[in-house]
Amino acid sequence: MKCKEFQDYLPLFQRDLLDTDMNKQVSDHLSSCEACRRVLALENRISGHLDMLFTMESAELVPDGIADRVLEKFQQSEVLSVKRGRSRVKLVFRFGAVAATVVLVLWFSFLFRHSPTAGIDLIQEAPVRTALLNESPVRTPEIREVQRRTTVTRLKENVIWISYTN
Amino acid sequence: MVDAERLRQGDEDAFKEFVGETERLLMSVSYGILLNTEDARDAVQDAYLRFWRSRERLDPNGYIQAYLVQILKNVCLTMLKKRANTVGMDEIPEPGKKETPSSRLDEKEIISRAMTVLKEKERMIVAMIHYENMDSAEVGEILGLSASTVRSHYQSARIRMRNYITRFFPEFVR
Repeated sequence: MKCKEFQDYLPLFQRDLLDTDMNKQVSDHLSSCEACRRVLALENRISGHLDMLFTMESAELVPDGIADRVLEKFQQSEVLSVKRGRSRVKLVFRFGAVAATVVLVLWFSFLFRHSPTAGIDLIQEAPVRTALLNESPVRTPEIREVQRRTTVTRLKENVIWISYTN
Repeated sequence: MVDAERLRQGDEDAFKEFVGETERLLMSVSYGILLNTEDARDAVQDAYLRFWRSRERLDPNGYIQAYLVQILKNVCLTMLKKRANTVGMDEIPEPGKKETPSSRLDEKEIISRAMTVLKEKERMIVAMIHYENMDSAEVGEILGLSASTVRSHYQSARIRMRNYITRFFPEFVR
């Protein structure tokens, strides 16, 4: 193996994570190679700093009573979720009430809407009166004009519906 | 080790005991990933809270610590994603000042910087090996990896750190 390969094994060697054979090979190589010993020294420094970093940072990191705080937070979140659940139910009821009102309004408006043929029955049931007049009491417009402006609908044999569009 | 069944049943004393057993491990893993004291503390608290909320889903035959570390890892990754969108006040460079990686950092800061070039999983492994003094088999059991995979991750992490330090902080090597 070349030095580069031995150097790659140094982190594992330094933490005693190599198997016995490889450990011996690295150890033998180190006894005869100055360059690899320098790299091992660097690895030792890095490793020492890593140990220190975690020891220092994590020691001041571990807070007291974390379990109590977590349990307290959990209970608070439970109370909150119950409240949220209640407010959600309220919201659903409100939404339902509004929707029901809208449906009722629409239904009533459908029932009592103004029908364009509402008066037809009256016309049909009215007695037919006839009178002989020399001329029409109403000034009749020109035929072309009448045709243009009116729509004549035959409802029954003797009943017609005339609608003026002007 | 605390009985999983007691935790499942919501035994608060069992939970306190469990926190006492695992908080050091969680703190080191959390700090290893986030490299920030305040964030690490928040992440651990959040992880315990999530763990306690989902205690009824615990597998009595499973390894509870592994489950907890998995929760913590997810919490930390979420925090990292959030952090990626924000910049701390001390990270904003002063106008007109060019900063190089080697500009007057103490050795602890150099090591912290070198940790940032590692992947999250590698950082977790480094944290467990250096702070908890775990061997590769123990780390593997917690992370659901084989011992040889853990050794391989650790090796590549340390090589990357060494290369980074040699390249950007030559005064550290001397």
